[in-house]
Amino acid sequence: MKFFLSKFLNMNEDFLLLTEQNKQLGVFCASNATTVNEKNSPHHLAAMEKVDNNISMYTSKKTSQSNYKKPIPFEQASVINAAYGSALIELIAKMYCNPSLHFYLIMDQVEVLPYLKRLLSLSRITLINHQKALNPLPVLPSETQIFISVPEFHPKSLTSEYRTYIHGHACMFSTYSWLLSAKKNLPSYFLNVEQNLVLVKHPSDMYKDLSLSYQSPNGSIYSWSRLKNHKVERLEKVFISQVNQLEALLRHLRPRLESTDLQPTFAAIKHQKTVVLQRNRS
Amino acid sequence: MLPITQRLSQQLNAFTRLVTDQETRQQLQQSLQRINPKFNHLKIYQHFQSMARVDELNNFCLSSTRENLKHFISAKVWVDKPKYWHQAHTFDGPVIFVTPHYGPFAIGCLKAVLDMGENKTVNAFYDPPEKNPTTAVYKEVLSSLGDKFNPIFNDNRGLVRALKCLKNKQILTMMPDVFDLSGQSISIPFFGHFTTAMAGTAFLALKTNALIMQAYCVPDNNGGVKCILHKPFQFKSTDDFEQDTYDLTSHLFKSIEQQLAHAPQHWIYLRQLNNRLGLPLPEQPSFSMSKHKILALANSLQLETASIKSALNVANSHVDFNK
Repeated sequence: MKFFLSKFLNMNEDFLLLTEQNKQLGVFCASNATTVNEKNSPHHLAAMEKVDNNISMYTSKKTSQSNYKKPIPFEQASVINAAYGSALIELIAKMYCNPSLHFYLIMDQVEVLPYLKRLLSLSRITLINHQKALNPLPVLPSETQIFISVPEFHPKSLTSEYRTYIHGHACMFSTYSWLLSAKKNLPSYFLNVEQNLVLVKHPSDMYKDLSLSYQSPNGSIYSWSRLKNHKVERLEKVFISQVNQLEALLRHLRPRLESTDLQPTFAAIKHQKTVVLQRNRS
Repeated sequence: MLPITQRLSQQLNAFTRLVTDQETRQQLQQSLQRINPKFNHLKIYQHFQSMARVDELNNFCLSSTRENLKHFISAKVWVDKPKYWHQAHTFDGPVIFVTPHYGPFAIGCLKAVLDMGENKTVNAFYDPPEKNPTTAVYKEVLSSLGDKFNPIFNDNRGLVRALKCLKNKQILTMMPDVFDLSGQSISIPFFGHFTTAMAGTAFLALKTNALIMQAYCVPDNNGGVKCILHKPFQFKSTDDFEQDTYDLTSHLFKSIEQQLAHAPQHWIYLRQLNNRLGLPLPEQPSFSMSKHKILALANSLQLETASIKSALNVANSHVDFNK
């Protein structure tokens, strides 16, 4: 009874979160777009939970039962780049039947997003912060580490490296996954719009292709509340606000700083502010 | 005096909103906590009531005949410090009235038009309706007394027009509590944090050496409007225009802060306050948590960080920013 009640509450919560993401998509596109739907995510999550239960019942045998006729054969530690949405959940579900794979979802703190809570409650999916993911992790002999890099979960700023267009809006994304794959010497893949894993040769190609995933009418993205913060327009505002606050802080402290000449710092702040804004607008 | 049925209806509506509008209630609660942790639901109720009264007064201005409106302003709209009002009226030079979007501020502007319009044109500087739809009603309300009022839209030509009006010793009303994160915005202290403000008011005052008077309009208990005036002043400028802009804007917001601490319920943007407050001031205990962010930003801007570190050390001498 308790099990079914918890399932029902989860479903209800995820339904509300999907509604919120639809609202956020509307904000992102400045329209009444509604393409965020559950797709088969609850089914995929249930399949993974079933795998977890089977493993815990027969721990010694380490067997797993999968609903997938063609699970993805993946034996290699790697970085997988994908938008947070139905396609990623489906991919993880297909890989999850391989009990040696352990997934690390890179994110600094848990966000309130559809299905994330259920995803993170699985035994072989762990949330890891950006800093920790870059460092060596303890690894069991039989374990293969898969790092899930979701571009919209990574820090971004106006000086982030990659610019791409989503629904006509310029967005910035960081080089984090590139750094991770280089530092750990792991191959990097991305989940393309046809839902195939493609080896990343150059991150700028990856972002071009990922932008198609974000806009695909067939896909369902569950993280519009995060994506809107990647818009150049919004990042510009954050940048102006931060630089203004730095300048204000120094002006506020100036009467107490008789021995320090802050004029060159103010000139440098003004110059850098102009340079960064102009570079982004050109 | 409001008819008793109307007053009861206003009170009932305010109470209904307090109970049912959970999202707004939460935003107001968070904002009020920033002003004074002792503020409770009564202030939220008073806010809803005040906003209803403002709507009612605006509608009255729109629907009244010019004569009725003149009569209402003469009989029911009053200033708490007539000598300050007189000083602004008789000042031989440009005058800037500064008010936030607070209470029935348009009525205060109409009082200026009625009392001072014979000698000086009263100009109001605000966002054009296409930029901020809530301003659409201002022109109609403020034009209720005829052609002694002149709107100036905050666009490319607006600042030049405003400067010209002030150079002709006219009156300009400015509302600095609306901002746009653009190159013209700055940060200044507000309720223990830095917040964004537009530098336009200070820019115009410094360029014209205008007399500045800050005013706050609040509904009184007799169905009228009280205009609270702060002492008019001219800012003593230095040879550092940017520091002067910062100092004057900070001064203006200090006055707004004082008024909001006393009676926050009349501020139209009260629910936004919580989200408007950014980095804590160095005097706040939470400031030390921000040191890494400040230095990271300075590094990303390729600034010479030694002077910033020494400034931060002075700011909070018990925190060692070199660690």
